[in-house]
Order: sequence, then structure tokens, then C-alpha cells
Amino acid sequence: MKSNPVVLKEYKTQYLDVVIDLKFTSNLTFISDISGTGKTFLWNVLNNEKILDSRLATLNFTDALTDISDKLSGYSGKLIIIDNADIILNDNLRYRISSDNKNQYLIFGRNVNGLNLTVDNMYKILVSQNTLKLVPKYGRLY
Amino acid sequence: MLNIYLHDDISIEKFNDVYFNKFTFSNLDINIAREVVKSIDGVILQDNKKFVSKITGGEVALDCLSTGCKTVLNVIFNSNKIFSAVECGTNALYYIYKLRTGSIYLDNLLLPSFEDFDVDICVIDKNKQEHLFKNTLEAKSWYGGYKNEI
Repeated sequence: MKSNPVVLKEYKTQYLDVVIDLKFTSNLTFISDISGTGKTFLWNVLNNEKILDSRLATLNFTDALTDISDKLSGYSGKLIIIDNADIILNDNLRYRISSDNKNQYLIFGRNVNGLNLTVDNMYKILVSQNTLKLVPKYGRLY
Repeated sequence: MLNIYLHDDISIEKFNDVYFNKFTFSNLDINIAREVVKSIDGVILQDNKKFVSKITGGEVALDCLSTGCKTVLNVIFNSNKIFSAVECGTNALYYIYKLRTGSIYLDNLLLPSFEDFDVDICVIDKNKQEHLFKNTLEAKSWYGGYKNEI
């Protein structure tokens, strides 16, 4: 999936001593990496931020027993940040997300099935000098 | 022996964060946990069961461990339960593969590409057939053919 971000091209904030400096180059950014790199930390930061910024919406394992499809239907113009994607996104939700052009997504997980991704969507977290950024996970293939 | 279930027709603990915080935390052997936490998340577990976050530099409780790290600890300290390991990064997953006890569920048997190592695992496939392996190379060889069949 190569498409421009429809909600946010960048998002910058401060959390404790850490500067969060995110830049988005496509409408679906998929964060996948080894364990312990800060994925859930970033989700928690943005989950706090949604109180202040109505463009943000968050989902994680605590939504597993709710109707996520129904929630997604109610969103428009949101950056939807999804943690624990491997256990809360089924095939239907993945198809829905891959074809959603009203919202933007930041997804943390490992299973990319059904999301129609390319290397351009694949990112990882880099924390350096108290700044958290997203960097491409793979080099460009072309 | 570590049991790896590829079918989900069995009771599986899917929510490793919740299970860890609610049950495993209170049963931790601090010395074993310290080694796991250092290996997976790269942080030093202190005697008060807290650690210094690599990101914020502040002291935080164990609920801030990665899900992968919590999954490893769940498997080690609850050998009678089956835990979903689908959220584990390769570092956590390969740590689990080296365990000699416990049970996990995986939808896809992710095996190391470059470095093989000795294991003691029983893979229970989607047809509930058991396959025993003593190293990851054997498992890869079997899984390649198995994936083509299913």
C-alpha cells in the first residue's frame, strides 16, 4: 500500500524526558520489530495524547471483546493507533483497514497478512538522545 | 519438553500482559526473571522488582516490560498453561524455543534463518499430529514441507 497520509504527516510531542518526533510517509505505518523496543510505550504515549488531540484514536487488547468494526465505522479523519494487532485484527478488519481512505493508521504487530503492505509501510522505532523516531525497517528495493 | 501448538482448538491464554500482571508477577523467581529481562528487554531487574526504562531513564514497574518478555516469563512460570506467542519478537520467540518446558501457541512456526540451535520441542500441527525435534534445522526441514501441504 503506497498512499499519502490523509490525517497527519508528522506528530511531535513531549512525554516525560522523551521527545516524540513522528513522520508519516504513507497512510498505513506498520511498526514491527523484536520485543522490547518501545512499541507499547509509544502506544501509551499516544493513548494519553488523545485526550488533548481529537485526531487520535487508539485500540489495543482491551478492545478485543468489543466490536472493533463498529468502532472503526465511527471514525473519520483520525490517526488510529493499534497495539496488539496480531490478537485483535481478524481478516475482515484487516481488509477494512487496507481499504479505508478516511482514516490513517499506525499499527504495532508482526502479522502483515491482509493489510496489503509494501516495504514503504514497514517501520521500526529508534530511540536516540531522548528522541523517539520512526525509521524505515527495510532498505528500499528499487 | 516445550510444546508448540499450531492449532487453536485448545484453551489458550491470549492476553499475556494481563496474565503476567495478574498472576505471574507474584510468583516470579527474581533470579530467573532477571536473566530473562536482561536477555529480552536489555534492562537490569532490581531486587524491588523494578527496572530502569531504556527510553525514559526512570524507574518503572514490571508491567512496563515488553509483551514478548512477559510472554517468556508466563511460559516459564506457568508450565501447565498454553500461551499465545504470536506477539513475540524473534528475540523472545527464540528464547522460548530454547526452553525445556512450557507450552505456546503460534499461527506460524517462525524459525531462525541464519543460526540453528538445539531444542527439545514437540510441535502439534493443525491435524493434532505431534512432531518431535531436537534442533531447529530439523524443524525447518519439516515445516517447509508441512506449509506446502496445508
